[in-house]
Amino acid sequence: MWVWRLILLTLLWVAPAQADSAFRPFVPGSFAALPNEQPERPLAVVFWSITCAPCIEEMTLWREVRHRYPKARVVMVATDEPSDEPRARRILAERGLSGDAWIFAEAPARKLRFEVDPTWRGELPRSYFLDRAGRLLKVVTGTPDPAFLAAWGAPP
Amino acid sequence: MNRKALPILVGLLLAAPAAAQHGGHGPAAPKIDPACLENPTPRCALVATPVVDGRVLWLAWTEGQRVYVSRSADRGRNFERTARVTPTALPVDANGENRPKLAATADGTLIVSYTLKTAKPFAGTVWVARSTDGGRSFETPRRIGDEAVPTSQRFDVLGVSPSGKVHLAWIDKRDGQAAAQAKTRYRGAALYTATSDDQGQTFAPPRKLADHSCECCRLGLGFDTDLPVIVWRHVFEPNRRDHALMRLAEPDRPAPLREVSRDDWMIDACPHHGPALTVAAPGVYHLAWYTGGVARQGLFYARSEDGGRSFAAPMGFGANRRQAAHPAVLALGPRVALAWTEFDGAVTTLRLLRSADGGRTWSEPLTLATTAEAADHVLLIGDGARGWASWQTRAEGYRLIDLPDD
Repeated sequence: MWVWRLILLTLLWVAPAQADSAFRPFVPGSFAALPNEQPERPLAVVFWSITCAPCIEEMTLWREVRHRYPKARVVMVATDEPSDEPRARRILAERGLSGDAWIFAEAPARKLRFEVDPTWRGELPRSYFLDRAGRLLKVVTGTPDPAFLAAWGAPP
Repeated sequence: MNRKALPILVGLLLAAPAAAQHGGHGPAAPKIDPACLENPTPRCALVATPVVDGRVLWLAWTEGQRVYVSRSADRGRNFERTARVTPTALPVDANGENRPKLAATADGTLIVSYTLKTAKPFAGTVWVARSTDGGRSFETPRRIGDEAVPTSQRFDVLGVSPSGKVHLAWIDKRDGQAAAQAKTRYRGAALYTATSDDQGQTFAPPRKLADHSCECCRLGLGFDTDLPVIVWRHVFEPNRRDHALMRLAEPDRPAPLREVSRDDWMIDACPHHGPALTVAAPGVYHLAWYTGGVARQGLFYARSEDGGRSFAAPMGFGANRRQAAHPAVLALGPRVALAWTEFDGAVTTLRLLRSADGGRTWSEPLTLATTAEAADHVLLIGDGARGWASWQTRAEGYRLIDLPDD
């Protein structure tokens, strides 16, 4: 019987390594499809990079947002190359932001950026806020304002 | 013991460390085209930095984490010689915003500077290498500055003044790191410089030029008579990332910092989008930059005719809805050129604006070239009489494009 306990323990040991779940590939069409995946939820699409220090500093805020506004959906999209996914996963996992994470999966990156927003030159962090109806409310470069977050995240 | 359980258990025990390893540390090395390793040519490059020296074009470029310098006698159509600068594969910063730099001195010495990424994130060290045999080989690269000083150096920029003094400037994080140690706040990073009077053989100790530069944008460097003029994205209080210019009165001592334009871009973010500068004549500077500020958004041009004390009202250019980005600027006397790229979702276009009257009036924009795949930033270079747009693209390779005369 002890063997089965040992197997169970081993499974628990292995499981966390996979808990920082795999990223979904962000490709042409991904941004437009996001609101329809979970309709009626306010949506924030947060673009970041492993090479962007302010993006990583800001992650405490996004973890707090997910916690405070459970009705809203916060999607983290890494604008790095697919080969950087392991490091991106580790960064998100360390900051409690695993899950609902994506990574740019088609080159060139500027094509994906253009589809999201033709005026976006790639500055990070960059977040796109949509309301429950999937309408774009606001685009923020840098840290979003708490009052706006409250209005967006917990709509009446 | 249950016989069936044992193989499962062994399998799990073997799998567990492998699963943990998959978490990975550090980015994977980029894929290298084997043909490029064996026979490196600029065709393999993603970014390239040109220098025109008479009829010769020199190109510094990277591939497979190595820095190379190639020589062309026909303005980039063919490269007959390539020398390796870095002895081994190293994590060289080689993206549009930070790339190896190249300069030539009057006696034919070639100097290359580049940033190596270090294990610590967002950190780097600046290295310099030289060739005294006409670019056939490069001496062992040397690190700039004192290794004992904990810091990070990135976004190096390199130039040779008319009198032959070599100037190196970069973004340095030692002041920010010291503040973090002392638990005080420090905005951004700092601008440092080091000079050489012996064609890059030795450099004087680094000196600080300015506090509070943006951490992650390329620098613009030019020479007014024999002294450097530097333009950079600054972090004004509290977090306003607008542009500043410094015209040095001495080779490596700070001078007053001038604000180029009050764009009011208040952000805690990485634009990765630095300015460009060209010096047309003593005291006459032409600048181009990108901003997402409250006052204005997009690409802008301005000139100063009094050594940076004042700037003309900024002129917007480029199509914002086509990602107009990374402007370059070049002056040949009263003729000024602005170049940048635009993107329509499929094709990247190299665009050009020209002025014949020192930047007061401008032509209609025209398209110089296009590409359907990945593209570097455009750079503009000149030899005093003629100008060229330098553009590295994945599909077409390297192109040095004549700027049209009117």
